[in-house]
Amino acid sequence: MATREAGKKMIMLKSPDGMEFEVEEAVAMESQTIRKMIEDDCADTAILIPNINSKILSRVIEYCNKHVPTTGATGAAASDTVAPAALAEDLKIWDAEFIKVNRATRFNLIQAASYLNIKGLLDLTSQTTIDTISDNSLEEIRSFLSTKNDYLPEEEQTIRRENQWAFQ
Amino acid sequence: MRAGGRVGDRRARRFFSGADLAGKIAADPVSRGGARRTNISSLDDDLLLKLLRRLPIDAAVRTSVLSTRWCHLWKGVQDLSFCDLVSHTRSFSDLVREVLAGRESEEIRRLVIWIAKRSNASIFLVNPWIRIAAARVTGQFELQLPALGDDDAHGFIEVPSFSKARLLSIKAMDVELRLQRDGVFLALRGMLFTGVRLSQHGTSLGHIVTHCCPKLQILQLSRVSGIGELTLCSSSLIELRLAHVTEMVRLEVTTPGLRRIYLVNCFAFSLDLELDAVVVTAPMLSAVNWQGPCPRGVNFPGKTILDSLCVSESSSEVEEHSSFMDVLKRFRFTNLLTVHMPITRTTEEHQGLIEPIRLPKVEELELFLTTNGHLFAETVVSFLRRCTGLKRLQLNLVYLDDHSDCICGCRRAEVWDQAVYFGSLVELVWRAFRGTLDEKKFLLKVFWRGSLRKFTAELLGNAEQAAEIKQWLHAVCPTSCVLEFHDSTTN
Repeated sequence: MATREAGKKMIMLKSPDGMEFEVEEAVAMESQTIRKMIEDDCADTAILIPNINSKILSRVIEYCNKHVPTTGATGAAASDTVAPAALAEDLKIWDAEFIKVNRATRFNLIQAASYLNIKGLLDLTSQTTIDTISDNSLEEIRSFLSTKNDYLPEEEQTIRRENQWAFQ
Repeated sequence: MRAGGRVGDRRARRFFSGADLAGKIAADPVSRGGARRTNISSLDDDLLLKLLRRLPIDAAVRTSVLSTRWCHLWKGVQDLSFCDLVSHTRSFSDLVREVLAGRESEEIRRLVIWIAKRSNASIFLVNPWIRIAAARVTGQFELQLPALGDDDAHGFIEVPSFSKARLLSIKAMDVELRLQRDGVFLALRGMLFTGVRLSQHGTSLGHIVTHCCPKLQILQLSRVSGIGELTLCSSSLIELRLAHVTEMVRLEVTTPGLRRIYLVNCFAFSLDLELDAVVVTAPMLSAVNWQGPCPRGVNFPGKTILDSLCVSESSSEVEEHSSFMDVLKRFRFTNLLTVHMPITRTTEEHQGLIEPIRLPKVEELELFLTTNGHLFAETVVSFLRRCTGLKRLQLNLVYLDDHSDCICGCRRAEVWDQAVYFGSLVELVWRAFRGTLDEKKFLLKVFWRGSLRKFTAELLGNAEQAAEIKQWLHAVCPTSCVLEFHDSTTN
């Protein structure tokens, strides 16, 4: 156990606004993008994460910290851990709390999750958007997405006619 | 690397918990700089497509009228899944037809049609969809149908050439499947049929695998009827899985690259007298999993060494039922041997069932013993006697029912007092250790002998019971042996 504590390798992540975050390698590797960089030996110095500001990056790291598997594959420390079902339930509650953010932050998180390729975070952050698009009227979707309808009326009619079945 | 860390020390925040900064962010709810710029328009098309892929298809299509930017975006969704349990605004068949028609000239990476309700399934609807899939699908095509009504009794599923698809999976109960004999399956890596009835006794399947699927790596047939004989020659095949193909009486496989073969409950009607009922010519073969009946004439020419071998005996009636013996004696060496069988009852039964077995040389043995009230120790020990050189034993007692202890006398004291043999065993893994009296007695014998270096127990029961068992194990486990636990307890 002692060696495991000492052997934790740290990785430095840098946001474009100049903040640096020191993160355990295992936590950083929740991101498939970073994992690939580390595996390809591109991570000797700090890794610059473009397009993701420090506020968003810190939240992403917070998520990864929570979701990094706590026991090794060998299950060496398994005897002291909580039952997996309880752990999953705990994570669910944590996730629900985590995602209580405003819309802009949420889109930023979607973007970050996508760029860093963190599947769990992408699932979590995009679910509301997906639900909104599948359940609401077009006007509501437009307002949720802050998208302006820039079709001419006759253009929109043509598009609707092409896939008439979907609008009935 | 550490130098980099020091430079950043002043500004770096350590994220062992992440809680400190998270608190600040929660207190500062709006990231104002971002709020103005960030709406969904700032997400790039690839990302929007990722979101669209997760939508039901009709909702994805409706996004085309949101704005000009969204007009063609949904067409990039190349994975189409239809399931009639998800409610759509349209009738299911109209939905599938219209979406497929709307994508006339485009490739589909993955098409899944999953029909659960009989009212939505009809052969006459399905065949045109299969033709469209055959022409467009570049990745995976999966079709699943429920049991069909009488109207479809004489209908059949027709499988034309799938020239671009990599995986073809069709699941339908008792529907005839006709494979186009001169079909072309140039890119196909996996072919999976479940429940269907093959026409022409499976000769068309053998023909297609042999001549029309140059890249096929996995063939899986599960509960497929209509196959009496199957002859496969394939240089690409790596894995062959046949499960519940009960009518099969002959199997001839010539596959230079085959690594794994699974034969589960096939050959139910094969005659013992038939010579060469099963001939598997596969020099690269490393794993054999054979459960259920096994005809006498089994032959793996030139193959005596495996990496893993799994056999099972489903009946405890001694005579004639020891089908796994025939498979076992074909092989001389395997790293891992897995045996599923019931606990044998008496000494006589041992003589009939276990004693004649010539086990291959094996380093690791995995025993799944179905309980029936009898003492399992004798069964385990008689295996160990035959496995000289065994290093690792995995024990799985499968408790089917709560049996009361038998009265046959297998628990008499002398059974325990007989020289119990544990050979060169150094590691014991016990799946689902319950800590019953029998289990504890057996374990004490193993510990007592002293050669064991590691014992791993997977504990069942509630947390309290688990703690009790742990305490007992700590007390009895010798210091020369490492104790490890895998918990699957419930609170």
